[in-house]
Amino acid sequence: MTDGKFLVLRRSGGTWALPDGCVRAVGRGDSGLRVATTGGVLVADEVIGFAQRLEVRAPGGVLAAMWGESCIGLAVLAGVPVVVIDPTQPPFALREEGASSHA
Amino acid sequence: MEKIAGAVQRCLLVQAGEQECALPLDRVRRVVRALQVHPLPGAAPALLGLAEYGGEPLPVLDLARLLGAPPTGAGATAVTVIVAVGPRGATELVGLAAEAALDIAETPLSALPGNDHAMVVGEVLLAGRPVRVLDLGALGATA
Repeated sequence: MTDGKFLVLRRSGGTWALPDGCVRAVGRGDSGLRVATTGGVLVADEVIGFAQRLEVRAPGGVLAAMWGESCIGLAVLAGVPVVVIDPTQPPFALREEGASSHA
Repeated sequence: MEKIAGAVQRCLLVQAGEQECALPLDRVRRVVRALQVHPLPGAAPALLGLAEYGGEPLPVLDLARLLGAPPTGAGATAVTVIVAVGPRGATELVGLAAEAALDIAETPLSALPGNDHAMVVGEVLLAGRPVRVLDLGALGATA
């Protein structure tokens, strides 16, 4: 279990969470919502809300081998799997430069 | 169930695309209706995404794609086989999306011909049909 709030987002069909303490501001941008964090700006389709606590699991070897991105771990929120990200190393799908290729 | 001479292992036979596969039964935790999978952008094609199983996040792999087996063309897979992969003592659970769970059978434990893939021990004939026997211990290491 990881204490501390998490901001929970949707992007590219996935659900993502980042530690609330990293979030500086949320606003609207050209390609969706812009989330300013201590690690840079992320983009999101939707902000779902905050999760007070998440039980974060290590991502495991299969995910590490088959998904070329880094993350803090995985969790489940209301029956939906969530990828907990490190805002300093966000997945491409959440980066501003990834927004142009976002379908 | 067919009987094979020599050291054998019990396996769950599953249909993965046009390929029939044998999963060592001691690695199989459960077979469930296809879990709802949430996509993971940027993942390898064989990694369908993440699902929730028993309150835990679960990577779900397309078994046919993982093995390079031709798809049936029927589209969606019907079952998810929950298996423990990786070396013993350091296993993790993953879901294998497949068309169907078929039967329980015995396959030889020894090396078999046809091991053309890192996680394929080899191929056997069961009831006249070729079946690829999988090594799920190799999956976590070589996926």
